[in-house]
Amino acid sequence: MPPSSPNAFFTLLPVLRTERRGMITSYLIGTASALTLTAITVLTAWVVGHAIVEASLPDPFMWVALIGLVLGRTILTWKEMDISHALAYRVLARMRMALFDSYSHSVPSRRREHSGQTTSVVMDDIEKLEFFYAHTLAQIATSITVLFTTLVTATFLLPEAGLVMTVGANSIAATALLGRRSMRDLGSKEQLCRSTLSTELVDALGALREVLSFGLIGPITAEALATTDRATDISRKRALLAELTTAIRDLTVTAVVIGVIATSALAAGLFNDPGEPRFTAAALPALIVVSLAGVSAVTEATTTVTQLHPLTASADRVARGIHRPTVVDPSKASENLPSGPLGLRFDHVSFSYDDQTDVLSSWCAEITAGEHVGIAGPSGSGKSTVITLAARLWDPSHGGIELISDSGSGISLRNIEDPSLRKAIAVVDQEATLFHGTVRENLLRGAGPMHDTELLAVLDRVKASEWVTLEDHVGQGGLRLSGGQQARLCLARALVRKPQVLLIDEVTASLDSETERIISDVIADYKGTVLIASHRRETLQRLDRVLHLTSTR
Amino acid sequence: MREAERTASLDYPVMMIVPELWREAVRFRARFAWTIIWLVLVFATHVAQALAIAWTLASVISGRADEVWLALGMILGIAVLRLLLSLAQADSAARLGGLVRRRLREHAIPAALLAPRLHDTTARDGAVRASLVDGIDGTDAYVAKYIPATAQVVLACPLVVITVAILNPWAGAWVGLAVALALTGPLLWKKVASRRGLDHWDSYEDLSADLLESLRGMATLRVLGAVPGTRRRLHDRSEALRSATERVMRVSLAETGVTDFAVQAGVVAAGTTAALHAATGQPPALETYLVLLLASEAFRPIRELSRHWHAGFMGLTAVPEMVRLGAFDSSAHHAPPEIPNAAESPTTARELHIQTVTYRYPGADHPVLKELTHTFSRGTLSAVVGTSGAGKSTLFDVLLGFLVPESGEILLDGHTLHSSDIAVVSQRPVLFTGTIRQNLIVTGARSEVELEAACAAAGILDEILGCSQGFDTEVSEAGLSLSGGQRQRLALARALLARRPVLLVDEPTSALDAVRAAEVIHTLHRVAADRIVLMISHRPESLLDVDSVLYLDNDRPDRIVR
Repeated sequence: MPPSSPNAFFTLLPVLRTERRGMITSYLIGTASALTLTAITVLTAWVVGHAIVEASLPDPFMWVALIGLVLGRTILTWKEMDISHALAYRVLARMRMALFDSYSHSVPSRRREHSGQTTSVVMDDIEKLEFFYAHTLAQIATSITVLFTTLVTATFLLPEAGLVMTVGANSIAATALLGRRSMRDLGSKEQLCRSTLSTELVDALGALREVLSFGLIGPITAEALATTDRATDISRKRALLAELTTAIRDLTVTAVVIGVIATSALAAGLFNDPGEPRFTAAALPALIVVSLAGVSAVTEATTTVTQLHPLTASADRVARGIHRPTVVDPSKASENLPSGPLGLRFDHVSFSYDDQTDVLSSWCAEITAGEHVGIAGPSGSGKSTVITLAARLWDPSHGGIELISDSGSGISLRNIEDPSLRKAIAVVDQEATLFHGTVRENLLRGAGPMHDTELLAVLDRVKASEWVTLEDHVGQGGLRLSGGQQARLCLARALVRKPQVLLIDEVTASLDSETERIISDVIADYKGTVLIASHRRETLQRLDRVLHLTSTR
Repeated sequence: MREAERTASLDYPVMMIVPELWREAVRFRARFAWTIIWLVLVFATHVAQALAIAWTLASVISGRADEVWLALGMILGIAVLRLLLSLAQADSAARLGGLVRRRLREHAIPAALLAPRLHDTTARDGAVRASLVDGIDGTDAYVAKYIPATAQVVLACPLVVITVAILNPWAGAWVGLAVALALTGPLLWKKVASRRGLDHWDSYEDLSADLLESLRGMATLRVLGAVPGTRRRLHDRSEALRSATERVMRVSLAETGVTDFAVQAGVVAAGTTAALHAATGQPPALETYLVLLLASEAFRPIRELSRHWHAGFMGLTAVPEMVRLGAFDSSAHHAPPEIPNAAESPTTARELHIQTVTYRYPGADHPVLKELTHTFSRGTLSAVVGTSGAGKSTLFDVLLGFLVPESGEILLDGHTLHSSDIAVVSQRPVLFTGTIRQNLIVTGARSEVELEAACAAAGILDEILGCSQGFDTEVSEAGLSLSGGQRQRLALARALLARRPVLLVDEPTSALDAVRAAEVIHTLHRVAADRIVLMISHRPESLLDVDSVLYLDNDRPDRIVR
């Protein structure tokens, strides 16, 4: 587990830049609300204190003021929370999209990752950070303001009390760092449990057929419960640690109260009776309330900081998620693609998955426009890698891949903007999936609007219109369809876009002979350039020529 | 129907009581009781502290110095006691929350992993993941914090109000009124909040499901150029979640506002009433201070309740979905976990007989399998062939018990066939996160010799031994780090190790080159000597030496339906 650094919070701060106004408003209203609350309690204590000691009642203006303050406080509280929460949710929504963008430039990474884990980063950690954005900055500023106001008031009433408060506030602030390492550690362990659980369950759901047929529900549940127990144990420890620091702060607050009472009792001349008391006992309740309000504000701010420690791991993961290494560089130039037929050229292409052994090493090949070419070779010889590179899911480590126009001039894939590239090249590979939704939605995914008659014509070409309509729901990953049906719809989805280059990886492998024949027919009739990776003799036979790859391992 | 169910279960009668979660919490009687007892004791120390402070103030006024010191010492002692009590409380609460989460998962996971999901076009893994992980974790704040806080309000508030009323009836009346307002005021919003909570969880689930799907299919989305479109869609979903969250939050904040108002107004009213009496009637100073301090303490449980409500509410929005999943079913109706080793009773069987089996997908006009009768025997490899949609995979699912036929029966040596009699290698086999070894021994422990023999038979041994970690090499999610062919052969090894009398293989050679494919077919012929082996295949070359072939012919291909 990489150590999570508290700096993660700072790397996330730039997201707040556009929210400066909201944060200032939130601070102003929050401070007004906190000061109003202080005023209410101080005034009430003042009234009671004077009533007891001097048997006097304040003038009617005080009553009106109190009622006004109570009403004002209610409105301010509501307004403050409303603004700060709305702000936090805006920031979080923006962060979710920033994460999606980052992943769309970095997935599939060469080292495969777990999608369950990835999703739990996006959903869970971001929700956890709501706390950070909704409360931290404005709240700490409010607390400091309240502390200074009350400190000045207390010092004005009795300088010694001000001193006690200053000492108390400092000791409370010091507790902010108490146990931070353990909390950070527990926080990241807790998060690890959550993502483990997420991983386990996503696996089980994805492999439901195997889970059921091998009777694995028992072990899977047991595993999840063990993870739950571990998580409970960790969160219990975290709760205890948090409670301990809270209690220590409470104790300090109590000490401040005791100190204020003791110093004011001294000042009132209770113990030595020098004749002229510097402080009236009537103001004592008010003084206690003022100093309490001050140290409570510090307590709240430190509690917030304490609660941030366990979130460090979440902040860290979100920060790292937003700054992932991209798998393809952004297009350098935006050259226009000719609308005519396009060929494909591999110029000394090298690629490796682990930066050690090359799967492809200085590989050269040229496919002229309209040619149908196969790639053959044993497992692991890099057939799929060639298709993946031609589809620009990754960039080669050395060498280049170009589309060749009629005139023979080559345009590097790196110089074509993504939308034009995706229009020109269509891919059907082993990992091609259908998405939750209707057949129409699947066919049109990423393509412009199209008339139903066109879509139906394509379904006809892959002989799918006899078993499916455009309105049918295919289910997640096309689960409602057999493997052959899924492959035909994936091919149909590629054809709908009328690409100039069609890249195909092993799709005929798992198909029945009828589907294989249909797909081969469609490909044979296809006018554009075709590159097929396959080990099937039947598939390769029908192509213009076949390139042979040899295993470099 | 789903909507109706969910709304019904959200119509909570009074307060913020979620009966399902209370039931689960009360189930752990001792833990539940202690969590509340510790909490009330912690509250008692607050009241004691109020008494001590009032005493101190009164002593200062009357100039009794020794009493002042004694009372200050008491305040300190009480604070230390509270420290210990609150630690015990936090410990107990965390344990209670953990017990309930554990129990919910114990019920919800088996309920989520049921065969109908395989054919349910509305099923979304991301949504279920959200409920099982985030949803159940979300109940923690309610169970561990909110429930004890509710009990505390019920137990402690009346006592404090009565005490204040004894000291000063008018002040008591004010405080009592304010407590009542703080508790009932938010009820006005409850209905709205519940409905909005429903929207909130729906949005959360939608977003979670969409994200999981797009991250899983990111490669496909990229080659389709569908990233911008998907981004727009997710953005809309994310915005929907944001506004749903904001709406829920507004309601919950309005409640906090009402509570806050009642708290402040109550304290001020009680304080001024006491002051009025002090100024006119001259009661002892101690009592007046007590009224002021206790009035404030009367609201402490309510403030705590309101604080925890804020945190607990979001978790509650997932409750209806969890009800639907079956997390709260008290009857343990799900199948008891099978213990693989014990379930391996018959390791061989002679024949598998299918007797006039008919299966029709729900809503379909024509059956996929129509009065199918066939016998597969041990000793020779059997094949099932037919065109796309002829029902080959459907037949396998019927054999496995994932689909229940309309009529007919399936017998293994004269007894009903059970799914525990069958080992399966599916068309797109999935491996679990973990090591290769863990994947191979899912049905029970096996010796190294057995592992190697099975892997050699499946033609994968050399590649496994070629890895630096051998059998302990990690397989990443769903086996995606392996090639399709490697996955298929590992799945075959896994099925061979399962020692079950029937082996179903769906297209075992689809991702293999000619040499490897021939090896695997040879292996299947060999293992067919001591078990019944059924293979779905489209490859003419795979069928060369196969004597027993079942042709499925569906001349009216079934339309897929929703």
